[in-house]
Amino acid sequence: METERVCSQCGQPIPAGALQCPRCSGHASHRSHVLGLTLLSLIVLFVITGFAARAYRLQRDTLGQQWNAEGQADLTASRAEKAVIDFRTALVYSRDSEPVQLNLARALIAANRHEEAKAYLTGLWERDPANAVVNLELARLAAGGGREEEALRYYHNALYDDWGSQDPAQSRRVVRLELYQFLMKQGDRRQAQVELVAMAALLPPDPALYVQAGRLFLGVGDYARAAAEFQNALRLEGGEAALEGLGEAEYLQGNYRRARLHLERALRQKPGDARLTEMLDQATQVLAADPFQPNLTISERDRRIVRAYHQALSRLVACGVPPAVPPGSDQGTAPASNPAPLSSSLVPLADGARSLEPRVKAEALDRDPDLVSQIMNLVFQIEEASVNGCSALEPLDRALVLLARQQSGPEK
Amino acid sequence: MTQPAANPPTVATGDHPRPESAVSRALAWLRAFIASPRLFLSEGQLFLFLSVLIGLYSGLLVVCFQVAIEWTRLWLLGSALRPSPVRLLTVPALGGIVVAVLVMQIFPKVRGSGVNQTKAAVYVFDGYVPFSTVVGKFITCALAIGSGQSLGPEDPSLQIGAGIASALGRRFKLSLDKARLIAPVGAAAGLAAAFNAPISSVLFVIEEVIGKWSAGVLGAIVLAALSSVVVMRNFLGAEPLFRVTSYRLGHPTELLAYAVLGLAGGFASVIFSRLIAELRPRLMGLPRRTKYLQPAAAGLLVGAIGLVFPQVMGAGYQIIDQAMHSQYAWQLLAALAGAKIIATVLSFSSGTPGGMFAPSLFIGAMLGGAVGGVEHHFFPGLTGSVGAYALVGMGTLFAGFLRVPMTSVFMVLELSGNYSIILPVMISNTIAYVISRKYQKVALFDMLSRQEGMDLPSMEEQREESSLRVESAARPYAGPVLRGEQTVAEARRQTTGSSEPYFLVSLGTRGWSGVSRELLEWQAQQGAHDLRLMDLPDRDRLALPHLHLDQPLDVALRRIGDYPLVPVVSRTDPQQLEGVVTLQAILHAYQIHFTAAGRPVEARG
Repeated sequence: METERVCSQCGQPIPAGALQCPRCSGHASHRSHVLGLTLLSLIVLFVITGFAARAYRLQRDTLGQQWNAEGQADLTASRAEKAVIDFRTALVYSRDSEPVQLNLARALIAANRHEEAKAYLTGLWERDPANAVVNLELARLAAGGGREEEALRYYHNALYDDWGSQDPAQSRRVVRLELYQFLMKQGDRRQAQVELVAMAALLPPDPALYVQAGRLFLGVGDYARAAAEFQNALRLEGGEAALEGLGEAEYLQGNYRRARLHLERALRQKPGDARLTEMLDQATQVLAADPFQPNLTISERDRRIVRAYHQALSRLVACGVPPAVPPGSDQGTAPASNPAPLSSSLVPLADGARSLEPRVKAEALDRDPDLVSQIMNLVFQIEEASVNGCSALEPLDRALVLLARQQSGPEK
Repeated sequence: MTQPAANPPTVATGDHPRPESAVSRALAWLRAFIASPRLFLSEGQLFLFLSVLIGLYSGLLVVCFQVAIEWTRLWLLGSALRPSPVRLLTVPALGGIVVAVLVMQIFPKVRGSGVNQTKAAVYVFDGYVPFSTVVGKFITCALAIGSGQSLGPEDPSLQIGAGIASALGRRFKLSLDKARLIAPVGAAAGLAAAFNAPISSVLFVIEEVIGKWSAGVLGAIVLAALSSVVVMRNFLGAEPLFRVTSYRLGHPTELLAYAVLGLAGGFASVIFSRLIAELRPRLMGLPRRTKYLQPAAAGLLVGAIGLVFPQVMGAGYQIIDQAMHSQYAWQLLAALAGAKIIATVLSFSSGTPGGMFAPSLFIGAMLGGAVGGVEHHFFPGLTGSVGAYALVGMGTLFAGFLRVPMTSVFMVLELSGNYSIILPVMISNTIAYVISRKYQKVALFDMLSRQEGMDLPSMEEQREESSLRVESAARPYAGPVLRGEQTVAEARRQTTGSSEPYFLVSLGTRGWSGVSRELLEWQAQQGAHDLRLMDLPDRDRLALPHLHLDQPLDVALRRIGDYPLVPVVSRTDPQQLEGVVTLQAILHAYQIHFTAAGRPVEARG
């Protein structure tokens, strides 16, 4: 007898003679049909959605760019408030666009909405603390608000962080320049000089940049580095600016011979320049007045010392402290009651000058080499002490003052 | 004379079959595969397979829906953040008229909450969601939200997913049990695609639509949510709805700042709910002809608000993102929160189709940002950014307004991807939830369903309903416990003097059975004194089920059947008797429980 077959799917008996379960085969057929239609419509919907989504994304990108461009135009035209709205609108369509985000921050700053700008930039910073541009903007904001520590922190972050697609070397140079200016404004000359040294070390071979660096070194009083930068510029044919700068740097260092050389060349390229002419004249005066120059004849040296001594005496007279007081007179040793501070400081120098007067002669100078430095020290002291408070300096006075400073060291 | 044709037609003959192309071979294989008996899946397998299909469909439709909303907005209001006043006043109003006509004449079922309609499909309509609702929601919501009404796309997306799922379930002729459950599967898929947050969507559907964790449906919901999110990310990108700022808790005392946010969020939720509770029934009670004008009037008022605060128009996701990135001062954030509450109440109460998720997120973010801004003003040392407060604020309003505490916590975690924010979120959400429950007794979705004349199961009530356990009905067993090895004579001797009419028999590892006093007497009369109790015929000896003290009383009710009593045994030692329950004791326990709860026994179970 034939055993009853049972459907493995639904458990129902399969009628005799039937190959498969009629119930399940009916279900399978129906579901196959529905599944085919479902998959087909899914494919169609997939294609439609793909086209729609692509068009949608393209449209958003375009709108983001349009509003960003409009915002930049408004910002350029000083319509900062409108630019803020434009950039916000651009961010609706390109919310992750970093340039637009930064533009919005700049627009907020331009609109004097510093608190909003700071909050916004801080938000950007929290998302990406290593973003150099955001750090720079925050540094500028802090510098503008007088928050020195905060500004320094963000400036330094900007120096060492990621500049993305921007040229990092140039961007860092800009930041160091800003930082230098900020430090100079804060009166921190030493730190400013440090930043300049760091910037100069990474300069590309560009004469204009060397000249710029040289000028900045002049600004912080680092004349040696300034001269080196101008020389670098000259090696790359830096032109008259480099020559002028080098002349000034040498002049300020007290290298008057080299200064005269460069200044003369600079004046040939820039004839009639009053400042250059003045420096050149001064350098020439110094060179003509300096008794310590090598290769001078003894007589010329003595002549310069005597001339300097008499110029110092004239200076004392101009300052109201006549040195040639007859011996025994009280006037020489006891100045008038309530003397001016300047006069009181010059009185002992005048006494010294008076005591030296009999020995200021060529014969004495030849016999006593120490006398040369004794006289010149006194001259330098008188000239230095009388720089301020007396009548205007004569050219020789100025030359002697410069010599005095040269002798006492470059830091003066 | 016939001329030969220049190009004689070629005829394929059996002798020379035309070579098949790769495409035709592939089609033939597909046809064979579809028709193959292997494709006949069991109901459970088909349900899981369908959930993937539902996810794919929902994802695609939600992408189209979002694109449609955006295109409608660009077309009607333009691309500017601040549209012209003429557009602001005319577009929402005119859009409202068109939406009203569509709703009143063509798609009457698209009014109201998609969440409740999905619940109704599960509990009332055997999983049926008309496909016209999908089409209607798509068109009317795209028009309403795109024209600037203050509503969101998540609730419609949820219903679009549910509708698609229901349609597929019908097409595949699912059994009634599965057909009922398929709508929530689609709802999770639609919501996940709209939110780009699958975990929160799964939790929301379980917390608010199904109301309980069911292994049978959880897998399908997760599959659907994941596949819809994959589709959505494929087309619209993987970026989250909002770019979340980093968060770090500086000091535990900062949690107090978030507690303040919880207070503010709780009271804002109450105000928001009460305004809807007041205005919506009034507008629903107006004559039918006014319903053509209500969305237009709401649109006009929303447009008027938009003249001052254009940010409140539409879903406002971009504004939330901007607020989270500190683009607005706290004063403006606070004003936007207030304006959005008013605009949303107007839009929603007027019967304009659209969801409340996006507005509640918007209000929460603005409120959070404002509270954070104020706190930063007075306590500059607080480390949490305004963005972090906005993020927590979103969860707070979600917890307080929508009353979905678990979803609200996970939503913030999922959006932020930062688990260190969980403490502030939990504190703030809990406070908001407690305040909302205290001052607004009925949860939002329950309130909306009652306004619409339905009495759907309240998930909040279900969650908090204290369930009776077996221990409530158990009593000590007064009679002797007999052993299976004992004879009838021994059992009679042992039971002499006991008032119990029925005696438990321990069968050792084989469980428990019972014998009545009458049976013992009858066996004795038959002379079966030496018959062991375990050898009694099955018809005389009842094999008893057993219970444990911690089991729900419903289980006891199902198991007790016709048994005179059921033993309650220890979970660690099933041979150790801890008591017995009887049908009378069970019913008595129910009676006491419902009397104490102050409601009749026949109230909702």
